[in-house]
Amino acid sequence: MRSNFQIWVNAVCEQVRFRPDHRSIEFELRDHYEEHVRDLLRLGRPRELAEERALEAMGNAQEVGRALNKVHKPWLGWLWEVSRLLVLLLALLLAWKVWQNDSNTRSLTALTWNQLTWSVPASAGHAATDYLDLWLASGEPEPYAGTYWEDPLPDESRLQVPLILWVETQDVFHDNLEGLYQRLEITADGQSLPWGRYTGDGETPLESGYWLYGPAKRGWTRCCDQIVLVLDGPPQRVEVTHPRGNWTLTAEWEGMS
Amino acid sequence: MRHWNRGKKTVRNFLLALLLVFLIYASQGFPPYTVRGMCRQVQHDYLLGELEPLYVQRDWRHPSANRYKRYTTVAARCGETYTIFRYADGLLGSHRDWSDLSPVFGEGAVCVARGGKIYAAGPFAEAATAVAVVRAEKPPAPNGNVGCREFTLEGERLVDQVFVFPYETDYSSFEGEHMGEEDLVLPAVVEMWYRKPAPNADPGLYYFENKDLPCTVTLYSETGEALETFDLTVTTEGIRSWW
Repeated sequence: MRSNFQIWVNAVCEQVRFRPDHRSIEFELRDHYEEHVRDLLRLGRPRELAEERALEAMGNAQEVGRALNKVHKPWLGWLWEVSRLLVLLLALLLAWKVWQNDSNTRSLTALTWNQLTWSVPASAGHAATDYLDLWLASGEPEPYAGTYWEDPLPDESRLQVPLILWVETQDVFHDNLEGLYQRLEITADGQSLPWGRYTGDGETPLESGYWLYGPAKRGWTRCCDQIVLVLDGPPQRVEVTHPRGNWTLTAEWEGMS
Repeated sequence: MRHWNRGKKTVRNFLLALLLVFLIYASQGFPPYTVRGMCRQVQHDYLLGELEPLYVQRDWRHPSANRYKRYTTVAARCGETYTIFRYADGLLGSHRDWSDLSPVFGEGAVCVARGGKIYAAGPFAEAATAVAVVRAEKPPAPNGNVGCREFTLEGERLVDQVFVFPYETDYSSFEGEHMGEEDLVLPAVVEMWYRKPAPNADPGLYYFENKDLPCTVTLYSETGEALETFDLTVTTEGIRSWW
């Protein structure tokens, strides 16, 4: 058998059009009612009388219901529900993409960190196009250490000469600007160097006179890449151009011969 | 926060949703959603001027057995440079399809083979019809003879500057060298002539060379007069591809 309070609270909820809120309204009203009943019991009133007085104090069910209906607007209620669901779905989608770590998902933290910590030395050579700003600086030649940047072989006579290339674009990077890197034309002391394509079995050519990609630090619109020249001796001057770019970047090594 | 009313919480949630949308979009590398966006991405990546889309084709393919994907193939030009590229479309944006189709460039004209069709883009507006001739070469025989086959493909105009040349891909009856070579379709010839024994592997293991095959596109007027010929190439990988 339903209690008087349950009959009263049902009458209140009937006035509230946004049905998903009925449960929370009932919960809150019941909380008030039971607290009042407890207070009256503490004052020594019999339970039946305490419940009757507490219910009277709750007011007219129709009036309370109409007042609550003004607060619990259906359109706002549904909008609120939709916004909660949307946030939940988007958070799950982002978590899934990060967890999946597929080829299209990028590391937001690494990209942001590299973007913010990017800096170009004042001595670097500079070139610009409508879309790109490029800077080039020479690095320190070292004995060639092989494809995987391990220690050089005991009889290795070739040098790896790093060129540090900074690129800043007007837009976020797409696919690592492969169109720029794959078409670079590099000459060392007038000699044109090809890109050292891998032969398919993980080995690079055994001779010298080519260039490779080095380690890169990519940000959102800025990146710092290394180009590694594999040469027999240290160069004096290296020029980097692109067939579609109207620019030439140079790097020079002082005291090299 | 506990005292925020429902209106404020709703506004907060929608702002949070906007931030999450931005983070998801950023995590995907701000992919394009439109053909114009795809062209802009290619022109930036390859240091081109503004690309003008000539032809857009959208189709569903199944690169893996259990999954269909929608692809957008675009032929575009920037001055004399023609390009054809393909994007794989998804809810979170379109991403460049990494195949030998995407992108290819050509000065004056360009062509590419993919999934049973050769697409050619160039200054073809004046032509009424076009014919492509693809030449495949057999590996030299022990006596030094080099065999070859030419496949003549009739063109179908897609738009003013783009023709497509379909070729037969059904070679389910292909039984290797037991079948007469003159009966083989183009992909079967490519499979047979451009496969090499894998080095340092058991006999019977092969890999396929990705080589450029000459593809000559000739334009004809309505009277059948040859207008112009373009010496282009398609790749063996493109010919063999089925999606």
